[in-house]
Amino acid sequence: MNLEFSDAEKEFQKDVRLWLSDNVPPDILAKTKNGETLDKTLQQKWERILGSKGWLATTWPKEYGGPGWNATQRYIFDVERAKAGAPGTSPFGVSMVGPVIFNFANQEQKDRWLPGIVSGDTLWCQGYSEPNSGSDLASLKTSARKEGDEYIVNGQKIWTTQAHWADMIFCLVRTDANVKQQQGISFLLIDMNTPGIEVRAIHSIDGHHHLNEVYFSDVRVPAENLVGQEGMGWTIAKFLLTHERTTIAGVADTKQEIERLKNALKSTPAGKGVRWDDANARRRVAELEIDLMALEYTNFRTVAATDNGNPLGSESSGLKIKGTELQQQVSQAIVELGGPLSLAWDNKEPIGSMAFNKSTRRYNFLRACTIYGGTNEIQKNVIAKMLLGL
Amino acid sequence: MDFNLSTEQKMLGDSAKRYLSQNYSFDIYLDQLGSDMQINPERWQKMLDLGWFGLPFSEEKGGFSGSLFDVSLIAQALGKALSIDPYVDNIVLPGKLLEYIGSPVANRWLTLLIDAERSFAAAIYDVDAHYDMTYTNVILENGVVNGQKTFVSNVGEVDYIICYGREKSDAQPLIFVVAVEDEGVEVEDCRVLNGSRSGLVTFKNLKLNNEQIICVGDDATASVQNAVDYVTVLECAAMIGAATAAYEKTLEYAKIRKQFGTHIGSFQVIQHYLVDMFVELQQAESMLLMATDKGESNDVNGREAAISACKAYLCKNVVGLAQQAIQIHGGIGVTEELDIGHYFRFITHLSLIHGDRDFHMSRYMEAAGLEAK
Repeated sequence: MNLEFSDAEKEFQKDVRLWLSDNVPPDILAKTKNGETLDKTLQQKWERILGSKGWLATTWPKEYGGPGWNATQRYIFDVERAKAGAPGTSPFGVSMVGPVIFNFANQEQKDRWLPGIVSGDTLWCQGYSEPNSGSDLASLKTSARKEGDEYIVNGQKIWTTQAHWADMIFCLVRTDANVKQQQGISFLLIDMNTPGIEVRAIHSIDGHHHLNEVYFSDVRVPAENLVGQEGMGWTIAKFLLTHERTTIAGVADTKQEIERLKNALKSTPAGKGVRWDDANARRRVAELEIDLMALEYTNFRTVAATDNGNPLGSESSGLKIKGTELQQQVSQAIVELGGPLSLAWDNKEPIGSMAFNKSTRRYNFLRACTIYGGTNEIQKNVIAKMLLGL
Repeated sequence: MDFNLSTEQKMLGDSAKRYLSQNYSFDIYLDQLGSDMQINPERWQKMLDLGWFGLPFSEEKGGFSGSLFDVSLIAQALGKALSIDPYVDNIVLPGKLLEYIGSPVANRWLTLLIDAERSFAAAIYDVDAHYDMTYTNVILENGVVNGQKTFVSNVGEVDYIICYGREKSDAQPLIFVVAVEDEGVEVEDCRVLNGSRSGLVTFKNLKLNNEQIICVGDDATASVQNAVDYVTVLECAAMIGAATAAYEKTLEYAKIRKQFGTHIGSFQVIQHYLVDMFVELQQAESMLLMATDKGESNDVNGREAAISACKAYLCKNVVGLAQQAIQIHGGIGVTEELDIGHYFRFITHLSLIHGDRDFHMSRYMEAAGLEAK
């Protein structure tokens, strides 16, 4: 048992901290300090900065342009990144399709797609869910019919985050309707500029546009964009679900959100003092800090296990559930402790406190976090079956 | 970071489990519940032979210099077996108190404790002190002590009481050792929630000689606080041990109990409850690892924050887990005949000694800088 970072890791932490203090642009900090979301320009600006440093695709091995960090280094980077007020990176390229490509794709495909992801130049989105295939993903209907050296794609995807930003979409499509559901699914990469693709916005309750519907009408996709073999789509999708879990809990950002809450309480006037004087508010912060500690040390166990070559120990199975619940609880605490100040929605100048004014946006946004990536109820079904033997 | 147990730690944990499976059972626990004697000489001797009495104490004091984590493995195994043998209450607590005092006379008492030649109980709380151990009206005046202490573990079966009090003249804290048999010491005990016994100790004109006063001043307070902190981590370990058993037994029950023609573990709502318990147990274990790691740290604030965070978290979530274990069992869960209800009482008991959830929340807030400026 040794729960300290090593000297080398502490040195690494210092280097990361130093670099971040010089490289997070002020226009981004102005947004993140109040918990606001970034537009495409700012998001991509940050990802390109990371890309040019070689720190964007943090989970990737060196041979594909990653930094070759172990899980501990990735965790340290993530915590320092959040602390420095830098946003998280969009997961679709670096965390999802990238690992699929270097694990399942041929050399040509690797050469073609990986460099744009590592640099932050190519933006991706994920075409999984359909109107009638949410939690029951294997029932998806979007079809890809082989015609010569092309696939003809027809169907509809939904809840497609950042489809309106993306250059590329990776899709689960049905290439065979006559076999068992899971066996007829393939993994296809599609250029968003292909004729026949239409993106329609879905406005979410945080008042922003993240989500979309994507329609495919006779979209012609080169057959060389198929990853792996036909029918391998489900295997690839499952590979992504069981991918490393060291950042799934969102410890770094939740930690930073609690700090933001404390700062807001300490700096927001209330009566003769500040909001921090309210013992109930401080007790609520304490509860959140303690819950975070439990999550953080469970995450440490997962990080250490990952570096020992056992990334999917049972201690990691609840991270998504507990992590997303805590994200929601922290954002709810910010809203409720802001009281009336949290009612403001689109003010440009602070009313009492900008951090509280902007809090309901994130609170509304985060209702989704227990839904996306497999609802927490689906997570529980999986744990009950796989780990509890029920 | 490395969360792996060393070979020695694995052996220690395994031998504790083996000892308990061979020497303890729910039936023995039930016998203990029906008896006035909590310290069973045969098992006491076996624990001594296993080296448990010396484990928490440093080698120069005659112990084996086990770490807090090492000792937590024993506490966890005891909890898992629902054992109310008072190893933590009557060995570790008085022993750590003597070790932290560290004077030659305290060391002599500690040797007697480690060798099981004498037995001890620690008298820390006044009945009106809530959890504030520094508040006491056990007062020494003109060589005579008067006052009352409560919840002194198994005081009816031990030789000596180690008591925290204060002097009348300058209110200086002090710790003294007194034989239970001495004139001026009255003991009245009762059963407590986990089934063990605990006593009210009344000092009526108890005469003390200077040799009996083993610590005076701030050191006395610090020693008591350090000892209580140390055993608080062990109580957390025992809670986790008990919660592990409660969870495993409940999972097993859900697989065999049939209703509506099928086992209740096939119902999604029961599956989700069990997953909640499983995930909660992982989180609670993580808190224990954190607390054992920081529990012996010299950074007082860091140590207090870690221990109180752990205890507060367990008081909420492990108690909740034990409640859920009863709920899933249904009617049989609320009976004395099944062990589940006893695990619930055992966990609740631990959640209430040496600081409950609110006490530890407040202490965490103080130690972690969450007080008003």
